This record gives sequence, C-alpha cells and structure tokens, in this order.
Amino acid sequence: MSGTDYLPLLGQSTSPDDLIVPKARELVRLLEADPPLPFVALAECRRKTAADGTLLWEGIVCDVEAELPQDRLYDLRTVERVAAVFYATDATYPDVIALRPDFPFAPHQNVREERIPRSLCLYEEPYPEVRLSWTPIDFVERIRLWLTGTATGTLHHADQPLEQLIGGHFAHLVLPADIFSPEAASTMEVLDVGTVDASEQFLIASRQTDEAAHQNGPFVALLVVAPPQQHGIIECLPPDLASLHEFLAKTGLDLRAIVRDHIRTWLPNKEVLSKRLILVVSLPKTRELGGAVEVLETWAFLMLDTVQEVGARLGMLAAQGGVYVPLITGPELDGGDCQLLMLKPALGFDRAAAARMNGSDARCGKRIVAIGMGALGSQVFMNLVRSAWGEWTVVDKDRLMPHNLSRHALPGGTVGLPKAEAMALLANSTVEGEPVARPITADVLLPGEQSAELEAAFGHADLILDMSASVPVERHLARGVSASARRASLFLNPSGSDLVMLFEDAERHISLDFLEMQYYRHLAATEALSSHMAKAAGQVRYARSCGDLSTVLPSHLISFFAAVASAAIQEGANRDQATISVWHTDGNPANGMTRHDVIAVDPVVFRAGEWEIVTDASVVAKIAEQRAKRLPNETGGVLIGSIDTERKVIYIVDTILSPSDSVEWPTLYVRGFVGLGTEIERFGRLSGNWLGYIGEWHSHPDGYGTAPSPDDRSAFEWLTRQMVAEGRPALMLIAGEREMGIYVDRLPADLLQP
Amino acid sequence: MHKLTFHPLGNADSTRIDLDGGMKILIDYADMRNAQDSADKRVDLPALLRADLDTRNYYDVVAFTHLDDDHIHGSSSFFYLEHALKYQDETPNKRIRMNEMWVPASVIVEEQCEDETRIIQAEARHRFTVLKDRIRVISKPDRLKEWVRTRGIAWESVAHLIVDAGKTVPGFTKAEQGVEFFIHSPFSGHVDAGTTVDRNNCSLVFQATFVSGFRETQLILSGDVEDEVLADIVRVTRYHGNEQRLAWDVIKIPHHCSYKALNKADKGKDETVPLDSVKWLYEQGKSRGIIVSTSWPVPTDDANAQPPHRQAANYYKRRASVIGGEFVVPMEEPTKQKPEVLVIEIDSLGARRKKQIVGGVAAVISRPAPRVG
Repeated sequence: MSGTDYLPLLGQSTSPDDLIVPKARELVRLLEADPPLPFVALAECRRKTAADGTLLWEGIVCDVEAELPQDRLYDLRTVERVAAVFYATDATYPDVIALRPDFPFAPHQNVREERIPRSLCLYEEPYPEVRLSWTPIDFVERIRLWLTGTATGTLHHADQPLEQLIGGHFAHLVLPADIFSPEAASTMEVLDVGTVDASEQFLIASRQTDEAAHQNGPFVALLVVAPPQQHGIIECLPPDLASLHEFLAKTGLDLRAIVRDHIRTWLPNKEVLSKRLILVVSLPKTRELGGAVEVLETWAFLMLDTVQEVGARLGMLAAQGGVYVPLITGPELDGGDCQLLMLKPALGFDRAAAARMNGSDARCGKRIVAIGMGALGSQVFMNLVRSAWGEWTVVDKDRLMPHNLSRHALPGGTVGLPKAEAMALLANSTVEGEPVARPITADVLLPGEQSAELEAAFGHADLILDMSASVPVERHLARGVSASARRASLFLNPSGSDLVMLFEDAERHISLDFLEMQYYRHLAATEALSSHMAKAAGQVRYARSCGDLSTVLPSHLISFFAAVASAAIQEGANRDQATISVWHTDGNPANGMTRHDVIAVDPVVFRAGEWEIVTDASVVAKIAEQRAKRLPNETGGVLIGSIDTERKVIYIVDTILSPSDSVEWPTLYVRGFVGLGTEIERFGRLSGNWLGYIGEWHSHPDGYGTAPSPDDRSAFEWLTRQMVAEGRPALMLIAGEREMGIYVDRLPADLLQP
Repeated sequence: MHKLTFHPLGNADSTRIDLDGGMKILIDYADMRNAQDSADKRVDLPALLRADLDTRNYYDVVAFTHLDDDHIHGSSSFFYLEHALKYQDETPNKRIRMNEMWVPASVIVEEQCEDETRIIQAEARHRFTVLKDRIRVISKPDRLKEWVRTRGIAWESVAHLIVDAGKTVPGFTKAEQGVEFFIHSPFSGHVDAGTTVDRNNCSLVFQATFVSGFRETQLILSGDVEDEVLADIVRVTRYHGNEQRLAWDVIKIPHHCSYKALNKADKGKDETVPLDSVKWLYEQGKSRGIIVSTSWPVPTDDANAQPPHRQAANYYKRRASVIGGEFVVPMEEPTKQKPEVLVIEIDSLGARRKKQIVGGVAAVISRPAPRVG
C-alpha cells in the first residue's frame, strides 16, 4: 500500500523508547517483539502535550493487516494504517483512528465532531471493565476483528456512538414508547417536551393528545422519519441546522422545508413560538435495498433557539420591538447559525419493551384476576407486569398499613391507600399505553356493592389467581364462583420457609380445593417436608384486635418466593395439566431450595344425601387391595381426610389400615386402636391439622354386597352419637366385591325391617 | 467453507484442498525438510498432514502434477501403495491411502525413471493397467496409446480412466461436491513432442471452481509449466471460447516464481515482462485475488540463478496490487523467521487468507517451555 497519503496524526514525533503512557509502551513493546508479530507493523509514535507541558496523549501509528475476504461490504484495504491514541489519564477508551483519508463510513464508528478521520468503536463494554483485562495483543486483535467484521458484516455488537464521544455529555430525551411502532407510522409528528427538573438534563416528550405530566413544557419536538436507507448517513455531529439538513438531503428529505412548514403552521400560536425547538430524526436502516427495516437509528437535537428565533434565522420572521412578525418576502437563509445540541434519545417503557427486555418474543395477553395484593401478591404482580405478562384486575379489600411496608411492593407515600388501587396505579405508571391493571377494592367473600363488578371480572378472566393466603378465599374461588377460568393459588407455609403453588388443569377436572387435599396428603407422606407446617417463630400484634397478627418474616424471603412464583405461574399457565408444587428452603434461601412436584390425580366423586364425597383412585385401590388380601376375613380401618361442613364436602385422602389389635373374621370385623392415635396425630401435625380422622371403613366378603348389615347399623348409630360432639356427620364406607357403599349422616332405610 | 492449505516447503509443492463436505484432496507431496538442520524453516509435512488427518487414513484424491522430486519427495514412505507389499504396512495410519490418484499421461509413459520417481510411476502403472481403477490419467497422447498397445492391453479396458484436457474430472460437480475441476494441461501434443518427456511442461494444470452460496471462487494450480505452455493453454482456451476457465481468485504460479514461467527469453532488469498470452492469464485475476508462490523467500538480488527470481516476483506483486489483492510466499508467512502453513478459506464472500496471530498464553502453552536450571 505504499504511495497512500495518510492523514497525519497531531502532536510531535517521539521515539518509542521515550513513551510514558503505560498502554502505549505495552503496545509498542508488542510491536517491536522479536520475532516480530505478523500482520501488524509499527510506523511511528507521536505525542501531544498541552501548552503547560502536561502530557495529553501518546499515539501509536501502525499498519494493520486483517483477514479480509475478496468481497467486502465496505472498501477496506489489505493494509490499513491506524493510530491508537492512548490518553495520559487512561480515563477513557484508547481512540483508534483510521488514517486513510477515504476510509469508509461504516457501522461501529464513533460519532465525532469531524467527519474525518474515522474513529473505530472497538468495545461495547464500559472502559473500566475493558481496563481490567486490557492486553496489547487483544487490542490489536480487536482492531483486526473490527476490520474483518466490518468487511463481512459480522460485527454484531451494539452501536453505542454517543457513549464514546470524547468529552461528550448529553441530556436525555425520552420519547413515547410506541412512537416508531407500525401503528404509529406517521412520518412526522409534533410532541410536547417537558423536563423533570430545572437542569434540562432529562427531557420527556409526550403526545399532544396525552394528558401527561409533561404537557406544556418549555420545548416542542418535531419528529421526522426518513425513508429507509441501507447505510448510516449522519457521519459526524452536525453542529447546526444546515449541516443536519445536508445529511438528511441524502435520503431525499428537505429538513429545512419541513421546519419552515411547521413554523408557518405555528405562527398563530404565540405559546409554541416561544418554545425551544427539538428535532428528532429517525433513520430506518435495511440490509438490502428495499428490504425490511432492521435497525432504527434515532437522533435528537436541541436547538439553542426558540421556534420564532429559528424562523428568523431561516429568514421567515423578523423581530420588531420584541415581537416576531412574518416576512412576506424574506431572504432564504440556510440555518447555518441555528446551533444544535445533541440529545440522547430513549424510548419509553411499554408492553412491547417489557416483553423484549424480559426475553419474551411477545407479551402475554391472558386476562388475570389476582386476589390478594399483600406482600407476596404485590411483588409477584409487579414482576409479571414488568415482563408484559398478563392484563390484570387486582382485588384486595385492605388499605396499606405502615407495617406492610416491611415486605410490600408499594412505597411509603401510599400508606392509607387501598392496596388494589395503589398497585394498579403503580403498574399503569410503570408501563406506558392502555392501562395494564384495573383495581377492585372488595372482599371476595363479602363483595357487597362490588359483587357485580367482581363477577364480571371473573367471567372474563383466563386465570383467577389467588394470592390471598386464605383457605376460605381459595375454597370460595374453587367452588363458590361460577366462571370458566382456571384457578391457581399461591401461598407460603406458616413459617414462610416454603412456597406452594396449586394450579388447576385447563379443563378444571381437578379443582383447587381437591389440589389442596392432595397437597396435604403429600405433606403427610414426605419426610423432607415434615417441618412444612410447623408454626412460625413468632407473631407480631400490630393493633389491638385478636386478628391483627402479622408474621415475622424477612422481606428477602418474600422477594425470593415472589421471584420463584413469577416463573412458576408462567410455567403453570403454559401447561394444560394440573400442578402441585412445593418449593422448600430451610428458611434461608441463600442455602438453596428443593422443589417437590406432586402428580395431581383426578377426583372420584360419590354422593350421599346432601353430601358430596371426593376421593381418588389411589384411595379406592388401597382399600380394595387390603380387602382382597384379607379374604375370606373382613378387614377395615379409619378414613383420613377433611370435611368442609360449610359446603357439605367430604374429602377422603387416605386410610389407616387395620390396627394390630383388630379382630378379623369371615363375618366380623372389630377395628382395634393400637397406634391409631399416634398415626392420626401424625397426619394432623404434618398437614397443619387440615387432615384428620373422618370415618370408618370395613369390608364385606364376596357375595354380600355393600348394604349395611344389622351390626353395621348399630356401629353407625354409635358413630353418629360420637360425632355429635364434633358437630360432624358419621361416615361409614363399606367395601364390597365390586363396589363401595358410602354412608354419611344417616343410613338408607333397611328394606328387610318392617 | 472450502479450505486451501499451502505448505512452506521451499521450492516444492504440496497443497491440500479440504472441501466443505469433508473430502480431502492433496496436490503433490514433497517432504523437503531436513530434520537434522535446526535452521531449516520448512515445515514437517508428514507430521502436519497426519495431524490434520487425525484418525482418518486416506485422501479422496492425491494428484501428482509431475514426477520431479520437489513434487513427490518422500511420498513412497507416506502413502500406502497398491503395487508392492513393501509399501503396505497395515498399522493404522502408518501409511495413508489414496482412494484415487491423478497423474498426467507423461507419468505413465516416461522411460528410465529412477528411485522415488520409479516407485510412484510403478504405482500409477499398476492402478492403470492391473487394477484398471482408482486412477485418473490426464490426456491421451499417441505415446500413451502406443505404450498400452505394446503391453498387449486393450485400450477399451483403460479408456474410462482417461480425462482429456478441456474436460472436467468426473466425480466432482459444483452441485454435489461444491467443486469442479477443469483440466487445462497437459495436452496430448505436449506429451508427444520431443523424444523424451519434458516433465515440467507436461505437468498437470487445472482450474478448480468452488461454490459457496451464490459465489463461485476459482483456483488455478499451474504445476511447473514454462511460458510457452502457459501461452498454449491461454491460446487453446480462448480459441474454444472458454475464457472463464482461466479466471482466478487464487492462483498458484508455476515453477516456484521462475521468470521462465513468464518469459523464458528475458528475465528483465527489475521486472519480467511476460509473453502477451501469459500476461492475459494474469489479467484474469478477479478483484482482491491472491497469487501464491510456492518457493523460497524472494531474494533481493540476483546471486542465485535458481528461482525464485525477484524480477518475476515484482511482476506478480504489481499484478496483485492492481486488483487490490496479495502476492504471498508461504515461506515468508506469517513471518520469514517462522513460516507456517498458509490457509485460504473460501466461502460466500470469496477467498480469504487466514491471518492468525498466535501469541501470549496460547503460544506459551502450545510448546514446551524453555529449559530452566
């Protein structure tokens, strides 16, 4: 490549031996290694000092040869001369400058105030991170990789041109999240812009139709979308309107004319005329000519001038005694004296951004009614809202109390507000666009005036999510609400060390209440979960009433389980089967957790009078097997389960088989009691007393059917008398050859008796 | 991605082609390094080839462009030869098999060969006349037909093994293997001319067209032919309207950068001026093409009469710079101090010379540490 006239690097030539900046010295040492490094050769070293003699930087000029294919996206040469400029302060990236005057304008170049020389953007990591592991060989390889990647179009790291501008510091401008969405595909738009404080360091734009807080700010923004281009066109910072106009002219846009037109329409509006003008330019980029837009490059510039001053500088208006008047025939000025300050544009946060930032392809539009915006519920809700998962109705009856702040998602300023309303406000102000959450302040069990609204919400829901930590609420949702939506329930165990999720199957064959019973059965059978139902260490009374108890629980445990639950809910909703899961810790999540998944089974339902008896095939089989095993003798045992006296439902989840002191004859069975108390107590303890003794069963020999015998009738009467004290019905199950007879509260009339 | 590997062997050739689909083709084999001489910078060819083969024990094709020592040296101890038990060690990977052998017709008909030349010739003759399989003989000069006839072999029984100049080698298509080999030389006339075989001028010259995506990338390997043969190739090819068969993205220049391959009559003072037809060939280089000289490093003076000649190199360099390409001598790459294999990858963006810097930890851990005491 001899004969190329390279651009000179500033400063004075210096000997490699005199270099001071450590990284410059290291690089030169590498370049002077013996044997020499291939594909990179030192050309010269230069240095720049300030007037007072302070060293500013040292530059290493070298010829770099990268792996380049024959066919290149940009005109890069086999050998490129670059200067690596190392600043004495080492506070910012070394600047890598291409010294060939016609070095192409390509992606991943730093935006500077001058077009030439081009500056290569080598790093996407912040410099302090780069500095930790910087080596000269890696630096050289980065330069070579930049050249290869640019030539082949395989350089994928993000463009961060603004971050890297030397000494650059820019105010932020937040644009409405959907401003570039296909639906909002107008190519020109006017926005109101306000500031968050007096510093003008953070500007927020809103549509003029929005009733946003930043309405009527001191700025007005004009958004212009250029026709799609294959390459970038803004090669350096445009210092003024005329320069920006020149860049955009390449896309066919006449920016000056657009600005003029808008000023003309604003003429009657004195308020707008005295606002400062912001220009937002969006440049869609395509890979191929006419191809789909892959990247949207957005630039924003704040003018020093107000709209009317810009008008004057463009020759449209003239100031007369402090008032601007339009000129009928003015000089066509180019706006070269309308100075621009670069702004850093960013988009607002909406559902699409939430989905993208959370790694989902699209938002989940499931309609969810969430009951319970307590510590767990509020955090789970916000996690899911931030990931664009769900369109929500949030229900809670309470207002935020001061002690709630220990673990709640709401901030202090909201104490006293209804939780549901405050949470909906929080969600809707987090995510731009249509409200993502709607509040209902009501007690699900006693909705009163809200019952119609609540019913409608349930009726439209895809998922009813119970996070109330209340068994009555869960049972009510399972059996007391008529809606087709799946139900799920999330709660912590009493000590807060474990999280439980019950998730109905899509067809609702296994309803929430029966999932609850299967969860208890699993607790009773699982040694590893023996501490699950142990009581909390202590409870704090936060007011005077007996019910005003709050559990002592570290906030981090709630956050931890809120995270687990957020993932588990999405998992559960994506699966059609019912789910029973327990996440168990020793109370310190830093020690890890174990997950227990219980296979949920379909219910087997019997009816006895006004009672519904719910059990499942495993219980039926256990009894049948035991009967067969004991034939020709009769056998029996006690039934373990739960009784919902309010809804007249009996859940049979297990049996304790015939105690050792039982009497088993072909026509007789006397259930013994050795060990029975201990065993029943164990069921109670392990299930939080949700499981216990609910009745008796015994078998009949083959050929005897399941009708109660005279002895059975006597026994049933005895049982009924005993259960009166409990306020519960007697339950007797008779296992026959082919079927089971279940008797609750009263026996059918004996056909044999007169 | 297809891959070409040129080995720095001084004035000697061995080029490997690795096809995208996994086939491996070796053009010439010349183990030139003197292991006793620590200053010898030529690479250990058999070691490198074995490392590349790993557990594989064969090449799909081994082509010998001609029988000069700098194209076959050591091949009788590297390859598994079918014609004699002596060369058939069955220890795995001890000897590497040639699933197919390509030789110009001159290899079969040459007389009074000695040493290694005789062994490779014996192998080619064995495959050609006894196995009648696993060989391609390039061109069918009268001399070959005569040679076959005098041995009492029916021409029809071996005719299927012949590939004529101006044809593509069967078994390789752009659609299937992603490559096509077009034979330029030798012509029958080159082999029939004179009373003895002129090995260099009868050497195998072909163009390979590699397909990757929508891109075709062309390689010309030009054996050791001199200017007039190159000129003949150009004349005949252009006569047949086959100009595109002489286009190249990568060209291995003939005869180790000898001026005789450009213009035998005039070396030139600082730059050889090639014969017009030869000049035309080099002008067929596509944008950013690569010219490879399998030779010693280019000297700065004329002290050595043997190639490479700096005048020839200057011509090639200028040609390369005109098309924005490169003139590379594997013995000089990546550094003259320590030459390494020169790899050219071919993909949908054309040919790309690999330029790897091995340094730092990678270098330290890829060799024994110096002795300490």
